Amino acid sequence: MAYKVMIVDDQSIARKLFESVIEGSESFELVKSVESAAMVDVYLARYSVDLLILDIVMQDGPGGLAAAEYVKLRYPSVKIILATSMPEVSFLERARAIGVESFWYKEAGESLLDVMERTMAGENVFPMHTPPQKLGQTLSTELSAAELAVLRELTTGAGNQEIGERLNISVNTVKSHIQHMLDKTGYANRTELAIQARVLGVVIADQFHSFG
Amino acid sequence: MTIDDILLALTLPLMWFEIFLVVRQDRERRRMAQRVFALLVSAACFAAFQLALQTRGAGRFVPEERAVYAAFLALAAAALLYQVLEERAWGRGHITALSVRESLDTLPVGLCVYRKENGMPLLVNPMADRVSMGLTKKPLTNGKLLHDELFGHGGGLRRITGSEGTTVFSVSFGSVSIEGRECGELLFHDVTDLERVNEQLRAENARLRRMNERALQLNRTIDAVTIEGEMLKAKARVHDELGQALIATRRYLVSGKDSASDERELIAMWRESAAFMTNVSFGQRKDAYLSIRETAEDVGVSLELTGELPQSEPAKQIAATAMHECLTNALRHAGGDRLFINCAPRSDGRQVLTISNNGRPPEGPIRETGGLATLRALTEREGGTMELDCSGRFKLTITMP
Repeated sequence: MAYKVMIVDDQSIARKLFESVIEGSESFELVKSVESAAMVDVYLARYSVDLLILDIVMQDGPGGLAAAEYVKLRYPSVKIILATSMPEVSFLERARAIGVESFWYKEAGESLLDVMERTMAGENVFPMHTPPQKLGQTLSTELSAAELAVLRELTTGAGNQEIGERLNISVNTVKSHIQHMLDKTGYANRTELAIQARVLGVVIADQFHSFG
Repeated sequence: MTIDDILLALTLPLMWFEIFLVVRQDRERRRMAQRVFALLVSAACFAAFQLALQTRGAGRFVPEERAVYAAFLALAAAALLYQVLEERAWGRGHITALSVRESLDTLPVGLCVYRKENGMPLLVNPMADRVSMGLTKKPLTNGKLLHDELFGHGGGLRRITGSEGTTVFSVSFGSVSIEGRECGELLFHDVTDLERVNEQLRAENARLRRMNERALQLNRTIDAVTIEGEMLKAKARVHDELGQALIATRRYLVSGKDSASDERELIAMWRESAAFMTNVSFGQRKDAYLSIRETAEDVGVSLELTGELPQSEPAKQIAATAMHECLTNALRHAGGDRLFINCAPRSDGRQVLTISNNGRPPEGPIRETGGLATLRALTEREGGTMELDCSGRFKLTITMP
């Protein structure tokens, strides 16, 4: 009996890709393919779903992480694969914390079908690490967790004092991290650093709507 | 000038030095013994001088008299030398009024202490005098007037512009008690360097604020920019696929070949491209009501609406959230396939939204968790009210803010 799959991705190209993977497999059956996670609860109330493939960064409504958290709470039997093309480092950690079964980088080269089959077989498929992203003269993997946390807050336009308060560190520590990142990347100033980090998806500040 | 004249001439200075020491030691409140000793030496010098004058009335000292007088002068000089050295040693080990005065004069802080009742200065150091001249163009003769002039316009920083530039002073006022009388104390601190650094910091902070505002603005738009970028990539891919289909078709036609398999491949390629063109949507933002209507239709639930749904915020968000929640609950709990939505104005002008369904009535009181709790929080936060009626069929009533 084929596993019932629901796809949630705001990009139709990506949805088409996932749909073609499912259609080409006898192990899976497409139940629904929708462009927003805002109504995922309605579809789960209507249809029986075994596997949910959720994009993380979506244009409208809640992001994949918020939706995954909701689904895990209300429909714990539904397995979830979170998918993204953004190299934001915290996505992996947060996905694990929420308890999703698997995580897939869209452009990493690993077969989606393989990840789906291993997930339904009971395996948790997670990449070893975030794909490195070139950021100026360095790679995103060369930045420490503390630096990335500061960088994430920096992209929201917060000042040093506010960043320090949010992360519970001193202003001098914030300044030090920013200077280290400027030294590593070679960017001229913090604005350029913030812009590049955000455009490249290295860090994404959580502005997603909560679910429900 | 004879030796006798010299001896006599030396006696008076010795005496006056001793008197000076007596006066100085009295001012320094030195030990009585020292003062008495100096007084005695001074008296002895005076007595010797008088005796010598009377003796000289006979013309000259006799050698014995000269020797005794010389020995007395030597003793007096030795006593004076001892006292001077002792005085210096004492001064090094004690704070004298003079040393206090010197210290005050060289303080890096301007100091003015004055009587509160009439402003008479008791202690003014040179820096306070300079500041008074710089600020008021007058020497410091009345502390109370200076205080009123400075603090009449509020305390804080004062700037003095001179030939060497601008000096910034921080002025503070306090009270001290001197000999039981209340006195005012004005302090002038030179904070020129500190103020310059503060101005640099203010400029830097303003620059950072502007940068942060730009970053905030970027963050507001970056999601849209990122998605636009992805859409552009998707469109480019579609464009490339169409281009490849055109090139392949042209080559086939130019080649003049008549191959069924090639034709099938070409047709499949065009069908795929056409499917993309007809089915691809590039993520246009949907209206909340439209999204709910389409979803309801998709899951087989009909929405039967009477009245006009609110179009302005926050009522629209509340109504959309309520419809979403009721749609989910109708499917999950009631098994219904029709949602009845009514929105009508009340006599007081406020709109009332009611939603019910054709599914099973609730089996008991409804616990407001998850979506219902969120809906109530949203409604009440905006000034509206929410009621749940589970007596018969499920019914949600929201009075809009």
